[in-house]
Amino acid sequence: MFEKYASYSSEDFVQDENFVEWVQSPDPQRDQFWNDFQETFPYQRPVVRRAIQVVQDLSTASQTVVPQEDAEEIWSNLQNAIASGKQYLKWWQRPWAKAAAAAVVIIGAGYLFFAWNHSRSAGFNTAMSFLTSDSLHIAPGPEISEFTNTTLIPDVIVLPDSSRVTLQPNGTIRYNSKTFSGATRNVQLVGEAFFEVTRDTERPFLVFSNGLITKVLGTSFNIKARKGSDNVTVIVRTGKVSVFTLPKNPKEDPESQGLILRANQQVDYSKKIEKLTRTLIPEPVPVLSTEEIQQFAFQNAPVTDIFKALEKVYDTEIVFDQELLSDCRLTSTLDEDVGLFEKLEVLCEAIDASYKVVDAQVVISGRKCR
Amino acid sequence: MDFPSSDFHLWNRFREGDSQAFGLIYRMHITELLSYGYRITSNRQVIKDSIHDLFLHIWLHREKLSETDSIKYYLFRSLRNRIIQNAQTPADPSTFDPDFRIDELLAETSREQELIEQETRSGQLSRLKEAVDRLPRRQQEAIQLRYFHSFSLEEISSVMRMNNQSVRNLLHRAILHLRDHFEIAGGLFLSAIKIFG
Repeated sequence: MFEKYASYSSEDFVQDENFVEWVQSPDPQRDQFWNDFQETFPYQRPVVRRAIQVVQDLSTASQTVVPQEDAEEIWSNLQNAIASGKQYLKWWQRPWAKAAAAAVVIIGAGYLFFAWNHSRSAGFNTAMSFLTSDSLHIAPGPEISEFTNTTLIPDVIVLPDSSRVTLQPNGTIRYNSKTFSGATRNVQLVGEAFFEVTRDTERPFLVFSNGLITKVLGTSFNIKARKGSDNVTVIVRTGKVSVFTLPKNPKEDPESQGLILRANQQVDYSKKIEKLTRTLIPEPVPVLSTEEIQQFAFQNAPVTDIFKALEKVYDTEIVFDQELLSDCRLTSTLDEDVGLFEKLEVLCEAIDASYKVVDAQVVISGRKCR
Repeated sequence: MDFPSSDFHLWNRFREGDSQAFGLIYRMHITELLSYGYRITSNRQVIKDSIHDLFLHIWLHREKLSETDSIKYYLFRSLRNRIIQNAQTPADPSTFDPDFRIDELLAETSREQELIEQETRSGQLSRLKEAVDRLPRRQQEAIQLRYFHSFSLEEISSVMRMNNQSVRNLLHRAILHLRDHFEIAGGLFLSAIKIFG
C-alpha cells in the first residue's frame, strides 16, 4: 500500500489527499500509516519532513490580513438590521447586546491570528523558556485576553492559532495575546474545558491549571480544574500530551518528572499531596473506525489474539503472559456496543482469569488452559 | 465527559431560532470568512456587505435551511456566490471607499514585517506569502481553501463550482509557481538525496 509513495517528491506529497489529511488532522491510525511508511522507506524521511513543513507554511502564507474592526462592524449592523426588520424580533435586542460584547473579546484575538508575521519573532533560545513567572500567573493587563463563560451551555472560543476551546459554564480562560504567538502557546484555565489544538510542532501548546502544566503538540483533551479545588483531571481523547508540575529546582527539566498520557488515559493531580496518578478513563473510546472494528472476528482463536486486537481498538496496553494463555481459545467479535471493561470481564471469565488496571495498563492474570 | 456538540446540533439549534447558537456560529467563522473574502476580491466593502447579507439571509430563512454536517462548508459556499454577485454590480457610492485598498492594510503591518525579515525562517515565509499574493486569484483561493481552511478536493470543487480534476490542475499549477519559495534548506537536502540515490 506504500509503494506508490516510494518515489514521491515533497511536491507530490503536498498534493496527496491522504498526506495532507494526516498533517491537518492527525490521528493514531494516520500516524501509524505514515510512521510505517517512513520505516519501510527511510530515505523518504527528509522528503516527508519537508512536505509537512510546506503544508504548514502554505497554511500560514495563504491567510490574509483582516481588518479587526470589520467583524465587529458587520455584527452590529446585523443586529440593527434584525432588530429594525420586523417587530416581533424586538426581544432579541438584549441577548444580542450580550453576544456582541463577547464577540469583541474573540475578535480582538482573531486579529492577532492574521498578524501572522508576528508569530516567529519571539526567541527559540531555550526549550523551557516558557517557564517564566508570567506564564504561570497571567495577570490582568491590556494584552490579556480573558474569556468567561457566563452562560449555562458550553461555549466555543477560537484561539489566535485557530485551536478550539470548548469552555464549560463558569470556566475562564486567559492568555497573553502578545506572547501567545511566540515560542510557546500559553493558556491559563480555571474550570473545565475541552481543547482541540492545532498542530504546530515548533510551538508547544501549554495549559496552566491549578499548578499542573499540560503540554501538547496537536490533539484533543479535556481538563477539569475547579476554582477553589486543589484537584485537576486531564483526559486525553486523541494524540498524546505530557503532564507535569513546576520543579522545585529550576535547573531540573520539569517534563522528566511528569507523565505522558495517550488516548483513553486520564491523570488526576492533587496539589495538596503533589501527586500525579495515571489511570484509564471509566469508559474508554475506540480509536479505530466502526468498519475496522467489525473486521475483527475470532473463530476458536487464541485469547491472546483477542487481547492484541483490543489493544489496537482502544490504543491501550494489555499485559499478559503470552505462553501461559496461548492455549486458551475463544470465539468472539469486538462489538462496539460493549465497552472495554465489560469485554475484558467476559473474556476473563471464559478463561478463568482476572484483570486489573495498573498505571493505565490492563494486567491479566490467569492460568494455563487445557 | 462533555464533549462539544457537533456542527449538526449547533446548526439545528440555530434553525430553531436559538440566538446564542447564531452568535456562536458568527464568532466561530467570521475571521475565516473575512480572510477568504480577500482571496476572492480586494474590495473591502463588497466583502463586508456579502458577509452581512449572508448572515442576515440565514437568520431570516433559518427555518427553511436544510441540515448540514459542516457549517463552515455551507457558509463558504454561500459567501463565494454572494461576493461574485456583489462584485459585479457597481458599489453604492455612498458606502464605497475608493481610497481604501487592501494594500494599505498590508502597509500598516509593514513595521512588523521588518522585524520579521530579520529572522531567516520568517523571511522565507514572508517571501512565500508574497508569492501566494502574486498568484492568479483563483489559484490563491484554491490554495487557501486547501491548506488554510483544510477543505477536501471535493468540497473545494463544490465551493468553486469546478470539477474535481480542474481543482487538482489549479492546485498543481499553484504549487509549480510556489515551489521555488518552499524552504530552501529542505530543497538542498532533497537534491543531495537524489544525487546519492
